[in-house]
Amino acid sequence: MAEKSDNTGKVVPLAALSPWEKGIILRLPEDWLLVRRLAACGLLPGVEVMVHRRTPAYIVQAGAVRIALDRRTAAGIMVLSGGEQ
Amino acid sequence: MRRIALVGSPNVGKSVIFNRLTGRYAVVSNYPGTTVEMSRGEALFGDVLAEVIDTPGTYSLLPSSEEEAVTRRLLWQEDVDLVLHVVDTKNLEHSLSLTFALMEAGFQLVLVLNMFDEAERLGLAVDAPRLEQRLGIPCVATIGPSGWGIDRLKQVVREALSLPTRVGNPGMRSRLVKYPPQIEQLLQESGRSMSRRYPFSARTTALLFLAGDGEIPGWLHPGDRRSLVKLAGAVSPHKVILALAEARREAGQRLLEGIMRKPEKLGSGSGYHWLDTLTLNPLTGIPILALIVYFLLYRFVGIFGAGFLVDFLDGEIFGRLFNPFVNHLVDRLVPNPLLRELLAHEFGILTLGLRYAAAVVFPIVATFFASLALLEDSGYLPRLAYLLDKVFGIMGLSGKAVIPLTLGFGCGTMATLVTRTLETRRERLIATFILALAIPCSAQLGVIMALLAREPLALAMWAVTVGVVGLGASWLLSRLLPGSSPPFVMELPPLRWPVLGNVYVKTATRVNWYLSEIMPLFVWASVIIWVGRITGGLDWLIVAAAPLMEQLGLPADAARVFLYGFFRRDYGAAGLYDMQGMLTIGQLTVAAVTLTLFVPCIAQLVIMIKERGLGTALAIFGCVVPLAFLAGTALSRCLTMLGMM
Repeated sequence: MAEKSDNTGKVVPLAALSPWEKGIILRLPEDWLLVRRLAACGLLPGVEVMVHRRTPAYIVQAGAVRIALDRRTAAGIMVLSGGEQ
Repeated sequence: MRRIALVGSPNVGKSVIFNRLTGRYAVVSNYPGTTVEMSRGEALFGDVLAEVIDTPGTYSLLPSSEEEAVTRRLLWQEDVDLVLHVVDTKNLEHSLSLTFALMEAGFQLVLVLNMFDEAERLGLAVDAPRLEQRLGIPCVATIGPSGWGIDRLKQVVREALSLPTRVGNPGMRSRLVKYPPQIEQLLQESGRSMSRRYPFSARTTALLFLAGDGEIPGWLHPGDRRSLVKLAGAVSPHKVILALAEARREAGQRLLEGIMRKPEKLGSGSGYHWLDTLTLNPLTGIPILALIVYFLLYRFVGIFGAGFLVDFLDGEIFGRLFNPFVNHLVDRLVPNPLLRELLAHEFGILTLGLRYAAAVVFPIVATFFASLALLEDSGYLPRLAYLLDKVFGIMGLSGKAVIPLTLGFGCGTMATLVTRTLETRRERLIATFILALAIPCSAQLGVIMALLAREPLALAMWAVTVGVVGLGASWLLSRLLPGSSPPFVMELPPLRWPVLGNVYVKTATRVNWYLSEIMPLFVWASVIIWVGRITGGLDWLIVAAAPLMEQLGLPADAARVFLYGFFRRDYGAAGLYDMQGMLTIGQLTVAAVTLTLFVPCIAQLVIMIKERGLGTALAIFGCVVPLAFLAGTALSRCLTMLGMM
């Protein structure tokens, strides 16, 4: 569990967050068709997200919504990591 | 007639609201040129009769899926008098961005705060009257399953319909959302330069254009298109998409300040039901998935629907009562023997075509659609996709493909139909191909088991050959087809108890629609077989296929089994069984492998044509048949070398 706090306050891909770690979205991937899809699910810069699971794919929560993402997508989203719940 | 569209994200209970409004007189259809399903029904609001349309799940007016594109096209092309935006109340903040988009586009709008009870339980209830005040549109709280709030919704709809159409005042309403100055300025300029009026307000039309929408440019007047193209050069679509999404998100937060508590407890995970968590953890989720597949698909659809009900309807009702009666009647009333054959006996329109549709397809379709409605309404489908996404990725499929592929072991015809639940054209094509090639249906499985069960080695060779050919060919196909699997991004709704009334209405309307579409196809299949028989075409094919049988190391007579098996699965199965004594175990293995890989039956081919189009279906057929014979020949050679033929 100790390695999680190393991330706090750093800019990392969403894929690097551990379960129950939070982050604020800073940047979305370049692919704007993918951006549409993410924006439609509420994943936008400024939104706080929390990772629930990493396997078999990512589950993140934003507000009251849970969204499943594959690793490729999660790796393209940059977040400011904000520590554990 | 006035027209009302129900719009909203997936899993917010639109269809329950739809059924509450329309009763059960709904028609399900495919939106022209797509496989996206849409229900239409009629409802009386006071003394106003209106058409109500249940649109596919949509997050935004800027489509990122086929469903969203269909909804958007409907809103643009059909004269919609009133839009009911249905939201899951606990996700209100997130859903408001579509509310803003619809208001901005100029639609007369009612916001339906559905699942109000769930939100209340989570402490996320919203002050509806104050929301109404701030938004300037009617907001109605409802609970779909219990029907709470529906009467008030009907009344609000009646009042809204009594107003002149499209009273929307986009000028005023758009002030709710302000975009960054650069974009606002572009929007003003484009508003000035556009000469025509469109179904969406000029502001929305220009925004969609600037956001890189693929379809909007084609719907515009060439002059307007030219001036928008010029303006669009100033800003990248990426920037516009983000700016408008952020502006709407902020506007939503502002709007809800003080009237709805923020869902700030960013899940400690405990906000969800324990079963919810179990279905997502692979350790427990995969066994749960296996149980659901086993009971719902295998036991209920496969054994009960495709087995028991089909045996009863086909064997008892048609086999013992209907067919003998029709044969007798036709023999007495129709003097011409050729016409007799067309109508009745082994391959007649009534005795084969009607029988296939009513006794074979109907029970399977009905049990399957009931299962699908249960899975849909419980919110389980997205979990299925989540759990299996990685595994199916090898074949170029997403996790959702587990449904059609499992069904294939029951009935390939049904399973091919169900590939329509897959998201992309590419995926549907791959799944259809795998079903046509490598997945034996229950009829084939039964015979193969009976033939090979005594020789475990032969059974193993059969399974390995079919498995290797199937996996290899689908892997290769997924490499060869253009495009890649789309990025996997999907909202996970909480699990809910399905409403049985809704499951029934959904099942009944879909079965009804399906049978009316498939009936003519079976009639045609009967006619084709009839022509083949009276012209001697079928016999000619059997003779022509003799060299192929030789390649396989089988007697020439085996061609009859393959050909008739294609037209009537019971005949093919029984035919092979009859030849059992004449064949060595090696020959039986080769025959079983080839028969499995071969397209199972004419019904499946017909559905392939209907679902994928004639060209694609023939291309798949053209791949599967040679592949089946190549694999059979290769196995035959191997077995000969091993001295097993």
